[in-house]
Amino acid sequence: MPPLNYVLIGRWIGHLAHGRLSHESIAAAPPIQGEAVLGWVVHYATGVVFAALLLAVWGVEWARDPTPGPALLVGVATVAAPLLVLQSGMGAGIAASRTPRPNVSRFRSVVAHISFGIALYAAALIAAPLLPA
Amino acid sequence: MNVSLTGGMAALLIGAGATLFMDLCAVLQHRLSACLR
Repeated sequence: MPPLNYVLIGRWIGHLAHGRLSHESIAAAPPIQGEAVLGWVVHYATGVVFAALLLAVWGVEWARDPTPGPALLVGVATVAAPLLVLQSGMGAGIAASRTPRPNVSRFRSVVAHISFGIALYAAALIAAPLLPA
Repeated sequence: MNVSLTGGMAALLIGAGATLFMDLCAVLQHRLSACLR
């Protein structure tokens, strides 16, 4: 799949809104109107929710003076979301168990979420001076 | 300004910023892979 293609996420959320949590294959599921836009919105909203989770545990003070530990911990911990919910719901099985190379897929998910942890820390460093006193 | 508004603003900036960072990295990685092929 090319990067920045969140159509299937939008489709999964669209079907979820109609009460269907899991699919044999989300690619084979009927398209949902506006699924590409929905996928983008959900993608960014998920990032904001994960950042809110970080702030709920470590407090707003962390955002004023960020340290890498909490950001990396949240990055790694949130890999549970794709492994246990998204992949399963989209037809790839729990922790990509139904994919041809599950361990490769799991490794990629973990690497992506470590990167997300680093990105949370970098974004917090940039955002810190912008926060009101 | 109260804590919840500051927290909301921080979550929005950090969450959207980190997600944007990830998207930019994915595009860069895709372009680099295409160049090396």
